[in-house]
Amino acid sequence: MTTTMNAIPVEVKGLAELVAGSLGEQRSKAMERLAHLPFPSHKDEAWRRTDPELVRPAGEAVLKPRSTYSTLGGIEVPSGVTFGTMEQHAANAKLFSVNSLERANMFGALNAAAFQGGTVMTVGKDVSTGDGALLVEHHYPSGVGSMAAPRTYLEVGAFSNVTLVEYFTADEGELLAIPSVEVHVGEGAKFRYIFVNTWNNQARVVPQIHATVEKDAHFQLMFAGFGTKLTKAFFESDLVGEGCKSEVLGMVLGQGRQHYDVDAQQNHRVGSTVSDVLCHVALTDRARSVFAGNILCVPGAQKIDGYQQNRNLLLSDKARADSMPRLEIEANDVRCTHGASFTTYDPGQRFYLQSRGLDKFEAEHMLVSGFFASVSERMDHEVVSEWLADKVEAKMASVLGK
Amino acid sequence: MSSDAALLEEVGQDYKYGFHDNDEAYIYKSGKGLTREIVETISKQKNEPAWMLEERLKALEIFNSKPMPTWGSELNEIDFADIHYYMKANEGVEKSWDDVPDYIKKTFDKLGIPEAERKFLAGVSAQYDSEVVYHSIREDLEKLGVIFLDMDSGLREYPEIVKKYFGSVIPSGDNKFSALNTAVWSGGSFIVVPAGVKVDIPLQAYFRINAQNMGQFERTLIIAQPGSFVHYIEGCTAPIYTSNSLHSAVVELIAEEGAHIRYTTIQNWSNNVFNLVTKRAFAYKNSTVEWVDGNLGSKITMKYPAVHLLEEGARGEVLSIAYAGKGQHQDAGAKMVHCAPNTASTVLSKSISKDGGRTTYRGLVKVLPGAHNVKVNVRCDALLLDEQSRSDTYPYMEIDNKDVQIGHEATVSKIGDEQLFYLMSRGLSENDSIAMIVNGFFEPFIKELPMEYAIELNRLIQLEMEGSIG
Repeated sequence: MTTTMNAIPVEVKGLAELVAGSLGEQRSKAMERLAHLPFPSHKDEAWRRTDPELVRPAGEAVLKPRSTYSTLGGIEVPSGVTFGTMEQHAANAKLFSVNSLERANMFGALNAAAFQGGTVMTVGKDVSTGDGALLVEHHYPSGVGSMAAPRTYLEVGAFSNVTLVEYFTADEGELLAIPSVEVHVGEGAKFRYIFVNTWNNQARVVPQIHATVEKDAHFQLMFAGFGTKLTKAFFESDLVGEGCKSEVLGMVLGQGRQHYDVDAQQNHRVGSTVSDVLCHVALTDRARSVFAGNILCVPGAQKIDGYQQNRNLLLSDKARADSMPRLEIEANDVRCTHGASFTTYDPGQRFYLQSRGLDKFEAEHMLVSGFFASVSERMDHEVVSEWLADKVEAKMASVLGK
Repeated sequence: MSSDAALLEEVGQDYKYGFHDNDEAYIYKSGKGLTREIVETISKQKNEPAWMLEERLKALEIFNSKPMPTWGSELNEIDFADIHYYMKANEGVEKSWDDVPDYIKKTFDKLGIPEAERKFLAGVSAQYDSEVVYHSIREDLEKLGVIFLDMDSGLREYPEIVKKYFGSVIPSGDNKFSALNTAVWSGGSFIVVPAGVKVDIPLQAYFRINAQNMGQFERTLIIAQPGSFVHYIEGCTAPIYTSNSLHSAVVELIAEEGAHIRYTTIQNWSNNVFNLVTKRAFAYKNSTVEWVDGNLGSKITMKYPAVHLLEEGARGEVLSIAYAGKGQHQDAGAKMVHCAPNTASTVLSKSISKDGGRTTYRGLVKVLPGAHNVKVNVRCDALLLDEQSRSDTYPYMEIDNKDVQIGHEATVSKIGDEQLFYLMSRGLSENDSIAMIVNGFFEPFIKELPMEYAIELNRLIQLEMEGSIG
C-alpha cells in the first residue's frame, strides 16, 4: 500500500487512513489508477487556459460536509427512492464501477480514493417527483488548508421522472474542492439535475459530472456557476441508447477576478440521438470565462442532432471570454450546429428602460435577468426555477453594484 | 450506398495534372536531406547578399530546435532527410514564352496556363520546382511603377525593400515550417504596388512541383502602398508519385493605409503533397485584406490564412472552400487578430468530405484589450457525402473586450432530405437535385473568382459532378 501512496502525483493529508477505511477495496483500486495518471500540465489542451498548478492538492485534509437531504415544493421523498449519504449506502459497489474508474482523469481518481460525503440516489422504475424536487445541501465548515471531495452517484430507473438539486456552500476560507458525479439515466426516464456551484468566493473547484443516457431517456444538467474563485468543470455525456437526449444548460455569472472554465463533451455513441448544450455567461470586472464544448459523432452513428450554443455577455472592459465550440463528426446523416456570440448589452435597450423610469441598476438588472431566464426556462420546472432565481438574485445584486 | 455518394464517385479520381516530365534536365539538383551545406549552396547559387545567408542559417537552427506540431494532422510521414531542397531547371527567368525550355513549356501548356490567360491577366509568373522559369508583366503596369518579380529577382533588384519587410510579418521562428521556408526558400513572388495604383486585372503565379521527393519553398511578399489595389492569384499542381513531396510556403502581405489586397489560391496539388503553408497579412488603417482560398488537392493541407488588423478601420476577410476525397485531410481555417478599434472581419468556410476524406475548420478570432467596436462574423458549413468521411470544427475565440459584436456559427450535415424532396417535387431528378445543391453550396466562393478560374474550378468540381450523373 505504502508504495502506491508514494507514487501518486499529489499530496493529501490523511489519505492512507482514508484508503484503509470504509470501502477500502474500491479506494485501493482508485489509488492504483491514480498511480498511472500524471498531474495535468498547462500544455494539455484541456488545461491550456486554466493553470492546473492552481488546483494542485498540496497536503490538504479532506473535510466532511454537513449535508441535509430534503425536498423542494412540499413533496415527500417518493417511495422507490433511496436517498442519502455515500456512507449510508456504502454496500452499493456500483458506486465504483470499473468503467467510471477507467475513464477517470486524475481528479476523478483522486476523488474515488479520498472521497468524504456526497449523495447517493437510486430511483426505481416509474417513480416521479412531479412538480417538486429532491434537494441536497452540502455545507463545508471553514478549515485552514482544507479539501472537499464529495462523491455522488445518481441512478434513475426506467420511465421515472425525477428532479434533483445539489447545492454546495462553504464558510469563508481557502478550499480546494473536487466533486465527482456519476449519473445513470435508465430507459425512457427523465432526469433533471441541478448542480449549484456556490461554495464561497475563495474556493477552487474542479467538478466532474459524467452521465450515461439510455434508450429514449432524457438527461438535463443545469450548472449554475455563481461562486468560487476558480472553477474548472468537466461535463461529459455518453448517449448510448437510441432516441435519447442529453441537455446541458449553463448559467455563469462572474465578477471580480473569478475564473470559470467549462468543458462540455457530448459523445453520440449510437444513432438517432440528440444533444443540446446552451451556456450563457455574463462577466463583469476582471472575470474570465472559457467555454469548450465538443459534439462527437462516432462512425455509424447516424441521424444525430447536435446543438451547441455559447453566449457571452460582457459587462466590463476588463472581462475576458474564450469560446471553443468544437464538432467532431464521423457520420454523414447528421445535423450538428454550434454557435457562439459575444456582446455587451445594447445601451439603447438600457436607455429605453431608463426612459421608462427604471434606474440604471434596475435596467441592467432586467437585461441580465432576461439573459439568464432564457436558460432557466428551458428546465420547464417552476419550483426549481424560482429557487434558482433567488440564488441568482443574491449574486446579481453584488455583481451589478447595488 | 446513398446515391449522392455514387454521384460524386468520380470527383477527384481523375487528377488531370498527374503527369510529369521524364527527363529531369536539371541544371542543379541538391542531394537529399537538409544540412548547413545545402543552405549555403542555395544562397551561393543565388548569389545572395550576406544578410540573407545569415537569415537562412539562423532559421535552420530554429527549424532544427522546434518540435513537430502535435496538433492538426498526422505529419509523421514527412521524412525531412528524404527531400530535395533545391532544384534548378533552367538558367534565369525567361521573359518570352518561346525561350522557356520545351519540356517545361509543354508542362505548363498541358496545365493550360500561359498564353491564353495572359490576355486576361496583368502579369504571369510560373515556378517549376524551386525556380521561377517564366515571368511577364504588362508594360503599362510596369510604367505605373508596379513591381511584379519573382522573389529572387526582387532580392537582387530591390534589396533594401526586401531586407526591410522580409520576415517582418512572419518571423522565421513563428513555427517549424516558417523556419524551414526561411532556411531554404526559393522563388515566389515579390510585388510592390505604388500608392494610388489600382491594378484592375489580376496578377498570376503558377506553382508546379515536377520532381519526386521535391520540396517547394516559395516565398511571397506583397506590399500594397497607400490607396492601392491588387489581386494576386496562385495555382498549384504536381505529378502523382508514390512517394511524397513537401510544399511549405510563406506568404507575407502588407496593406498600407487604405490599400486593398485580394489574394486568391486554387490549391490543386496531387494527393502525395504535404501542403504546410503560413500566410499572414498586416492590415493598416482603413485597409482591406481578403484571402480567397480553395483547397482541392494535396494529401494533407494545414493552412490558416491570417489577418492582423493593426489600425483603425481595417477589414479582414477569408472565404474558403475545401474538398477532401479519399486519403485527403484538409485542415484549413482562418485567423483574425483584432489589435485596433473599429475593425471588422468575416470568415466564410465551406467544405465537402467524401470517400473517407476529412475536412477540418480550425480558426482563431482574437480581440485584444482596447480594440473597441469590433465586429466579427464567422460561418462554417460542412457537407458530408458518405458514411466514411469526417468533418471537424475547432474554432477558438478569445475576446478581451466588452464592446464587440461577435458571432460564430457552424453546421455539419448531409444534403438535406427536404431540399432534395423540394427540388424533386419540382421535376428534377435526384441526381440533378444533388448537383444543384452542391453547386449552390460552393457558389459564394466561385462567384468571387475571375472568370477563367471560375471556369477552371467548375471544371474541377461542378462539371465533373454533373458529368457523373446518370
